[in-house]
Amino acid sequence: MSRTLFNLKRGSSLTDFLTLMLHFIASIGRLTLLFLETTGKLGIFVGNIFRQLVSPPYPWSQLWRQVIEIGYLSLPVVGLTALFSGMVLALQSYTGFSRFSAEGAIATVVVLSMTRELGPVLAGLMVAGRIGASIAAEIATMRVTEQIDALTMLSTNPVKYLVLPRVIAGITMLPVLVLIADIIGVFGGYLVSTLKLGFSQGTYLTQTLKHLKADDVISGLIKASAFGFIITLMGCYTGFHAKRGAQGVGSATTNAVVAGSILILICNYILTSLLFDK
Amino acid sequence: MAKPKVKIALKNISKSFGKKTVLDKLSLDIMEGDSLVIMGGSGTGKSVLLKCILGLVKADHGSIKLNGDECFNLRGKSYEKFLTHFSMLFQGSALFDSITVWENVVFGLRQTKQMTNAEAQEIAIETIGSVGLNKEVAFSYPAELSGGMQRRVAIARAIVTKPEIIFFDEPTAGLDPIISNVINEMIVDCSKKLGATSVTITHDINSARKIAKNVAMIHGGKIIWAGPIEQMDKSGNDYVEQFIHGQTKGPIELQIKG
Ligand SMILES: Nc1ncnc2c1ncn2[C@@H]1O[C@H](COP(=O)(O)OP(=O)(O)O)[C@@H](O)[C@H]1O
Ligand SMILES: [Mg+2]
Repeated sequence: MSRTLFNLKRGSSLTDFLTLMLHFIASIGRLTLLFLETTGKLGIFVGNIFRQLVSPPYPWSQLWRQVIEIGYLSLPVVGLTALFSGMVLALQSYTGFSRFSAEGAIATVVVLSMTRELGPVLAGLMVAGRIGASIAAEIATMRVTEQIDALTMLSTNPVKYLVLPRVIAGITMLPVLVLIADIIGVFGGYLVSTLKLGFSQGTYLTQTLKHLKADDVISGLIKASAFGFIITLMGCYTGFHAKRGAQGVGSATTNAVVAGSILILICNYILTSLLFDK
Repeated sequence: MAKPKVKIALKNISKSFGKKTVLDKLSLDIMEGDSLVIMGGSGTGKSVLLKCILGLVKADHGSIKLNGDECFNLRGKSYEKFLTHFSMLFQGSALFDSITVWENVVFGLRQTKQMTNAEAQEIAIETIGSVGLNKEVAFSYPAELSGGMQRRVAIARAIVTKPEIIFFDEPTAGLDPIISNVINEMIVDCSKKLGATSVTITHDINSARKIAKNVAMIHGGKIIWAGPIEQMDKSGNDYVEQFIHGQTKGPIELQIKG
């Protein structure tokens, strides 16, 4: 009696376990399929962008609008982010370095962190929020209200007219933004160091330039360009594939920002390790 | 009189979204110079049908012939060429809200023909005039116009390229009866002037009577009745009867419940 009970119990917990495992495997399978499907669609989308890249004429006026929108109008956000990051960097590295009397290295730490890492990543994340969201919302609205179909009907390739200008503007404008962010960030460090920490202005600037190599700046700009591509691509992709209704626009926007930001961080690690080995 | 030619021949068009079958082996011939009205309840796939013909939504199976040439699943240049035969008035007008009304109207024209800004503007203003809007409207943005005016601008945008075939997707939805009639007359006028073949989707019986030469009724993914408008009232088809009179009891309700 007790033996059968035991067996039964063991049997049922085994089936429970198996069912659980099956569910688990099924959901892994589903996620894998979804991942593969999205990757495939994204690949086709990128292929389509490249096809439009080599088939003139180009919508120059659209490109100009996006350069203004993505480059010029992002300046305040990116500038403020860089300024305060540079300032906080100087303060924090002072806390650390003063403990073993290495305050002289603060300028170097600020400029290297800004150019190699914080400039591109912070600018990338801020622009992903600002531009990725607005691109996704705009294109998704156009999808939902049939404006994208209307473009096709009016002899205009929507990828060429809507996507290409945004992606090109992203790839070219992010490096410009990051270069400006680098300078503002260093300036922020300079302000804190000279006004608050008592460094002399000349020493700080010489220290800044002393250990800085062109590669430090260039690697940051390469990253920026890649991030510009990621941000605009994700904005356009999610907008283009938006589901119907207001909810479609909402989730396209969220997905653009979330996917864009995560991809930026992943891509940042990959690029850092590639550029680092060199 | 010459025998009318088949302009668009649809055969066995099927389209599903996931598990949901919207078009189920639908076949329909659209004659040259016809003014065909497609009727059917909401969500029966009328818009999807038009978009499948235009390739904006890819049909799963079937054959679409334009002037006798197979046009299913065209790509690249031949698809672009195929589309130049058509214009479409979208359900919500689908005007581009970042550009002015006159730029909207000549948007398609400027993609295919070189013209100066002044020339384009002149054509736009003339076309806007022909749909009964005055010149000032040309320089406003779509969002500043009422629904009826937007619909007229969209009609202007659809006819300015002088297409052979025009699709109107619920042109009078959401408009008051008087504006609706103005739009109906405009559709009849424009189609006549251009000598175009027109296909209009509507579930407004009055519109159908004003516009249609022929009527097709879509239900359950198929065309269940098609014929001249004069025969619509004595079609003897229960679905058509029920739809015309808007009865709540009849085969359509049963279908929904089943
Ligand atoms: N892009 C789409 N994705 C999923 N379902 C769709 C899509 N477009 C249309 N449908 C579905 O197809 C059916 C027919 O839609 P539609 O052709 O717009 O109806 P209507 O006859 O009112 O114009 C609806 O049930 C709709 O939910
Ligand atoms: Mg519809």
